[in-house]
Order: sequence, then structure tokens, then C-alpha cells
Amino acid sequence: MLSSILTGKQKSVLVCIQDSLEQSGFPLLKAFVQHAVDRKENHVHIICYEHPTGKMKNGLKNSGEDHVHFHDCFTDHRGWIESQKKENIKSGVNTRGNSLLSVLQSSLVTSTNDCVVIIDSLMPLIYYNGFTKCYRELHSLLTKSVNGLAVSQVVCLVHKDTLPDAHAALPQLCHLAATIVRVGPFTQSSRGNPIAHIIHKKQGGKVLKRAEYYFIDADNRVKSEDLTVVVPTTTGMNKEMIDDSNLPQNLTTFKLSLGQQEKQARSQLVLPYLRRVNSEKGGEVFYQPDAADDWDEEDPDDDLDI
Amino acid sequence: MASSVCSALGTDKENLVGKLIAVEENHGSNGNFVLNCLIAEQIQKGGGVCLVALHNSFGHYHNIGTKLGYNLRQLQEKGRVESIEILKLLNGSLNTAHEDGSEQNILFGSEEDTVRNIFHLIEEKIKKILQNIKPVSLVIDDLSDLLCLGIPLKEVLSLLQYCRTLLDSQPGLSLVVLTHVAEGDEQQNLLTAGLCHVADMTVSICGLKTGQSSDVSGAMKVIHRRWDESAVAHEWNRQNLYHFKLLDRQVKVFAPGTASSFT
Repeated sequence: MLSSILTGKQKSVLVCIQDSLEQSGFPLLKAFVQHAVDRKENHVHIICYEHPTGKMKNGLKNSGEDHVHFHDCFTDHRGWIESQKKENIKSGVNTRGNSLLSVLQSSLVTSTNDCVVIIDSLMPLIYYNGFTKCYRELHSLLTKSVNGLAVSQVVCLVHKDTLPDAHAALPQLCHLAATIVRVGPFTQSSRGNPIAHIIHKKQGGKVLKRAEYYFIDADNRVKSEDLTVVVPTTTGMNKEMIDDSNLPQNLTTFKLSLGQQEKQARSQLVLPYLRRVNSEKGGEVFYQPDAADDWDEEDPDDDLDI
Repeated sequence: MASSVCSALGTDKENLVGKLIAVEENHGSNGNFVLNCLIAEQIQKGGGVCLVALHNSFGHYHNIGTKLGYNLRQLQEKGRVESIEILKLLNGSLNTAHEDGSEQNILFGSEEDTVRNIFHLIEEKIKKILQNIKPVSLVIDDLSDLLCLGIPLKEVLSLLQYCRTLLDSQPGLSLVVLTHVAEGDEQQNLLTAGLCHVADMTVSICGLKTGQSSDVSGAMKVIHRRWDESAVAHEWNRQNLYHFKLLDRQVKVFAPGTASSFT
């Protein structure tokens, strides 16, 4: 799944990589850059907000080719150094247009093909321009063409733990993105490799969910495999133990069950409301004739030959 | 003193030039000793230091320096050490606050101007030392104190980014930044996470969860990040956990469970 998104077999308009301090998504983003560069179909715009461009170029193959464009939005991102050089400190800072659209508009690349935009981190953009503006720009980048440039894919990185109001902002980003890759640290079943939880929304509307572990080699090539959850052999036993622990007799300090003798004693006890049946004698009929009774001394069945 | 900490951090084997070391000081602990050890190592190597003191005064560092075997004030006269004491600047600013437009009044005005002025001050000092000596460490203690001055997170992160720009543009510079994190303080948490995301090495200092101990002062977690290498399993995000004991003239660093009383 991860490699098919990387190679472009699975079309995805906006890929959003979410990482945290536990596991950085930077190597994965670099792999996305490498794949986009190697495809050579489109112009690739790499916008560096968080790191100097050198850090991204380092270890990247074929980064000097014509179709690869780096945009440095890291150095002097607010124009402090520039304004000092002009010696107009007191006249206020000329804010550099560091927004996504202005960066792409200022690049003088024209091509008939669509281009791929890769953003090294949305965080500075969100801090300085605000989340809503950043969201709007991403959206218009995907829908409209900028300065004659149509964008076929945007890949961006977001740090979950530095995002202000993450509980509101993250779901919104996820809604906009066609593919969300949540990067997590290794577990037992991933053999020491980082894990990617992928949610991919196909153009038809089908949503795919996968968990994979991936490995990135020195050429920024990604190998990924499905994450198979290791099932411990004692699972069944554990389940029973968990069920047992919820029973009241395991929770209370009182003795709730009966022993053998107690059960016997209970069965022998005759409760006062029960009918006593004397089974030793046979059946008996008591009859007391009253004064008006017509008592027949003779046996009424005398004539019968029994 | 410094050698035990530096070997735990791996700074004795690794060249720090061009790197950012983040020191995360969790509430209930004091990470100042890490800064002092790094300063001591830098001076022993023959390098220079630019100290941005927000939390402790320059005198504090001088006093510790005398215990570790160097004299910061003498080094300052020689031009190997520069210091920017924000607390003193703040004091000066308060005194001249009513005189609008004076040179000293750098900490009043819009929030962006404040941070920009601090950056220009740092830049100036760094360039001054780099003319004399290389390598130079820029030590900021502690960045989260700017939040306490009422400067918004966004501006503090801007300052950090500009300092990282210096790292890129001035060869021979390394950056050491300390931040304090109190649990539940949203701003401090965001700042520290933002710092650790871009750091090459994170040193996290925290007290013992179980309380005080006479043998252990706290725990130190060291995380190395290698950006240029690919993500090879454990190697990429290597972690090391140590316990340490602060003594008068030295810091003992040992593996958890091997404190002197146990052995």
C-alpha cells in the first residue's frame, strides 16, 4: 500500500504524513521526494519551511536535475535580516510572502505538465499564517491552477505534538487529505522497523485502511510489508482469566459458595410451609355421618360378583 | 566533571559543529549542569562560547566555571566568551522605558521587535567571536523564559528558527538550547516539542518519579537523531537512559540500578 502510493500506482492528491517525537516522518517524506524526482514525469517543487534546503538535498539522488526546484522558506523567513541590511528597522518589517501560493507563483517554471509539491513541514506555516489560512491555501492549491501550474499531488508533513489546537486541526487536515500516513515507533511485530498506519480514500469513494511497517534504504527506497499482529499462544487463557476476575466471588471477601456438607444439610431441611406427606401408612378415609344422613348398613355392591 | 556527562552524551566522539542540542528540563529537575558541562568541554577544546542568559546570571556561570577550572570573566576579556544577559537588559529597558526610542530599549515595543532585537544582538556577538576563534557554541538558557516575558510562542519559535539560520550560515557554530517543561503548560509543551523536532540531539532531564533519593538526583535520557542516514530500525532514533548524581564539583553518571549504594 505504502509503496503503491509512493510510486503513484494509487493516485493520491494530498498525502499528509503525521509524525510525533517518537518517530519522525522526515525519512519517509524524503522517500516521497526521491520517488517524485525519479519519476521525471512532472516538475517537483520542494518547499522547505522547517529545515534548510541543504538538509533535504543531503542524501537525495539526482537532486540537481532541471525538473527539481527547491524553495528556501527557512532562511530569513520573516525578513529580519533583509530589513536590517536596508537599515529601515524602525519603518517596520516587510513581511516576506512565504505563503504556499506566493512561493509557487514566484517560481518562473512553466510547463504543460502537472507538478508535484512537497512541503517539508506545515508547522511554521501554521504558526505564522494561522491554521485556517494554511488550510485554505492547501485547498485552493488542489482545486485551482496557480499561475498556470496545475498541481497533481501535494505531500506534506505535520508534527502532531507541536500543532496548536491539535484536537480540532488534525481532523480537518485528515478530511482534506486523500491519504493520511500516521507514523509510529516500532513494535514487537514490526521487527524493529517503524510503522505506518495508512488511511487512503480512493477517488471512487472507497476508504482503505492498512497498517504496515516500512524500511528505507540508503537510496531512499521504501520497502513495506503488512503488519501482522503477533497472536500470543496464551490468548485464550488470558481471556478466561479476565472473565473470571469480573465474577463477584473473585471480587468479594465473603464466602459465597457452599460446601458438600452444607448442601446436604440444606436438602434435608423441611421448611414450614411445605406439605408433609406421610408415606409409611396407606390411604385412609375418615367419615362421620351426621343425623340426617341416610346410612345404608348393607353393602351397596353386594349383588355384584366381584 | 564534564567528561562523564560528555561521554554519556557522546559529544566526546562526535563533532558538534552545525548541530542543535536540545536540553529538555522537566519540572522538578534542573538541567543546568548539562549546559555547564557542554560549556566546559567547549572551552577545554579551545573554542568560544556565546551565552544568552535568561534564567541564570553570568555570575552563576562564572562561579561554576571556577569550580570546573576556568575563568569565564578572563575569557570574556580575551574575546572567547560573550554573554547577553536578558535580565539586565530588561532592567535597563524598564529604567529607560519612558524615554521612547532610546538605544537600550530593546525589550519594549511590539513582541516581534523584541525578539528581532534579541536575534540581532545574538548575531552581532556570534560574528564577533567567530572572527577570533572557532568553533563557537551558542548557549541559550532558557528559551521558555521568553514565554514568561509575555512573548507569544510564535515569536519564540521564530527566534529559534533564526538561530538555526545562523547555524547554517555561520560555519563553526553549534547551538545548545534549554527549555523548561511543566506538565500541563500547553505553551511550554508546544515549544519543547517544536525544539525537539528539529534537534540533532535531545537530552531530557527529569527527577525521579518516586521522589527524592540520596544516591540519585534524577534521570537523563539522550536521544540522537541522524538526519542524513536512512531510517534503519533502532539506529535512527537511539535512546539511552542514565541516572545521575549531582555533587559539588562533579556529576556522576551511571546506568539505572547501579548507584553507589547498590554495588
